[in-house]
Amino acid sequence: MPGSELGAALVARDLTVNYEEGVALADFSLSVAQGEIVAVLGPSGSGKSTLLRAIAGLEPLVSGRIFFAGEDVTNVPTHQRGFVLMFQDGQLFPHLSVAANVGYGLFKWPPPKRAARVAELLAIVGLPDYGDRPITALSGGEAQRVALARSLAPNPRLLLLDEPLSALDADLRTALADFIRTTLKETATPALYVTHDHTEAACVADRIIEMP
Amino acid sequence: MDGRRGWVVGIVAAIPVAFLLIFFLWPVATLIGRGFFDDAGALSASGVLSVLGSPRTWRIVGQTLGQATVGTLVSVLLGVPGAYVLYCQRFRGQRVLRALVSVPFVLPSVVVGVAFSSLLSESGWLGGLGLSESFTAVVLALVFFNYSLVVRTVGVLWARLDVRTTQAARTLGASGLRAFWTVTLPALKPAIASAAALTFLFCASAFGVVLVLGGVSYGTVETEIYYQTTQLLDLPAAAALSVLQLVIICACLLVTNRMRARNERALRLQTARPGRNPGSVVLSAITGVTIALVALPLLSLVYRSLQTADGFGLGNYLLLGQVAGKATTVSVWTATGNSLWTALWAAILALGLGTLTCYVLSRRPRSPGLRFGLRLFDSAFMLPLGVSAVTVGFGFLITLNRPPFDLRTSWVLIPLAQALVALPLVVRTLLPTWRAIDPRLQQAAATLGASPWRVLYSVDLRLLRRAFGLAAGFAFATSLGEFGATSFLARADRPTLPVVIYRLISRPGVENLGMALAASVVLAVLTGLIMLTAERLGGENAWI
Repeated sequence: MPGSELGAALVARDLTVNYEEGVALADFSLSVAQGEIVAVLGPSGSGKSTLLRAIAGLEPLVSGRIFFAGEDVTNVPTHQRGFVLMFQDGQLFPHLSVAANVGYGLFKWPPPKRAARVAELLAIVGLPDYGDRPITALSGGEAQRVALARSLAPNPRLLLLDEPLSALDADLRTALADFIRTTLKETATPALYVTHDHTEAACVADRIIEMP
Repeated sequence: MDGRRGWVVGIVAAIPVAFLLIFFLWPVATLIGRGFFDDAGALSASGVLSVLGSPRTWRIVGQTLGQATVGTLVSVLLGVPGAYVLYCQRFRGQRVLRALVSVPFVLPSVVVGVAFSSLLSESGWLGGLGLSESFTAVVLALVFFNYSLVVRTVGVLWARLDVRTTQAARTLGASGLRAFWTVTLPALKPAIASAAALTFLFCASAFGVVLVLGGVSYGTVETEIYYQTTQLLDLPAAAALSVLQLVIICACLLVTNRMRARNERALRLQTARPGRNPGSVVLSAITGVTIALVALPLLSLVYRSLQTADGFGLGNYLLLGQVAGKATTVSVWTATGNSLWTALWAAILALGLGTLTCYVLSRRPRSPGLRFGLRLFDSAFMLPLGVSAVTVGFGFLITLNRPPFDLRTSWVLIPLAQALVALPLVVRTLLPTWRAIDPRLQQAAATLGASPWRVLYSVDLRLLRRAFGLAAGFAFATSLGEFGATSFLARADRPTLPVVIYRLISRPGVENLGMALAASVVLAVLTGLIMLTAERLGGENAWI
């Protein structure tokens, strides 16, 4: 069966994405094992973000296939893939409170269970009393921690992180990179972590892939 | 995935398109077609040619363009200083002044006409100037209408300009004036151009205010169409004039669309960083005088409405409950009820269709062909903004009077026509906000497991709540004051408030005038209340 490498969670084969300006990603392949954190490193314009967006189903593929746990998900719509994408600038919903943001992906859960899960996640990211605050009251580091909590809340099959720390200053970046690694390992969530920073990649990932 | 969503968007688009075809293009095309057939039904351009050959036609076209050009120039020259004072400076009472200048824009045109004639007629405060039924009177009223459009459009952008760019110019040795000329003005140009183009469009298609103020001598193409159809019953002439009007408006729309595209791009480039700007005595003085002039007709309207034959009092208002003899067959209060009821349905219809339209227009298709299609769709929904409301009203009468749409005797015609007039305003209010929603927010929601419908109502519609409030206000207020199309469609026994006001003011008699003034105040207050509620819900918003 294609894509069923032993122990692999995600297998992407020969992904090609075109933009109007030209080829954004050409015949790119990679795999992520169960529970593994893979960093994708490369300069800006090398197609790192496009790769994540293609895997999330946000960019149409010219060619290539995407498998998860042996199942072909190439034609599965974004919202049914169970891959959560954490954006560089968080993309928190400005009209919702911190708690409502974290609980956004839990709309199928019964409310008491959802509230408990939100509280659990806010405790994990170290913002236990922040639930009722508006998004506008958060600092950059807090916003990214809320975004991480929101991404982890629905127990994604795969977490896609697009330069999640690049907008933060150096001290905070190191601390949060450690924190993300610990959290991902505790939940055994496989992850693709895009960054342009070697130190950050080495700190977070089990394995590093360089994009040309 | 794209293919399946494409079908949904196509079906959603079909509803407003069908509405536009049946209730806009068909009536308008039929009316225009009438101009090219003689009484025997044979194709003939003689009627049209005789209109195009008549010097009267070209005098009226000249007047239309002249009034619109002068009206636009004055609006811009006064509006740019106003934008600075009301949006870039800070002072006590600023919000109140902003609200005050935005009142005229939503006032029914008949009310503005009555207010200005109460001010400029011989017995009015400014009666000594002899401006009654003059070119100047029409231009002043057009400026009164559109001043706030310029102030808002330019002001909202100006407040978002980074003051540090100007400061950089100053440290490089530029004087205040030179910095404005070389740095600020170029940045504001798209907003100024866009506001000017829209103002021109509104001025060139103004109807009620010109009908009331211009008298017989200062008509526009729009009032001439009305005159030819209702007084002379000369359909070919009216049709030929409608074609002329269409040409003028399409040219305006073309320019407006260009400007708007540039404006939207420019807005994205600016950092939203309102800073404190230095105060300016000259600009504040200009704006102070302008605001006083804006307030004058309104004060005059209220003052004159309280003047009765036996002194100062509420006599005119007490008459509103009576059926006023020959002028109307119903009381003003009954007409007010009719107006509110039809405007409510018109607003619901316009808001529903506008939402569907904006949903389609806010999509971001990848293929260039679809993107071109979207631009066409966009322009099509701006057409009712410019095409003569009179043409629409008359077109309704001659097309919707037989199967499949035999609505001749139905009051439904009025909300349909009003919704058509309000639709472009709804689209222009909702669309910029909808387009400004970062697509990555929707994508974030999708990766968290939200289906496209859930994304639509949990992200898009939630973020649009404020814009919806404002759009609803515009739709309701516009429908309430709509006069051009309604004047054709309202049945004698079921007139709307603007129609009654026009009937009252066009008849002689102190009592009729007094009632017209009082009824205008009522209509103005209703409109104001609607917009106040909408602004509460909508907050600060650029109009385009």
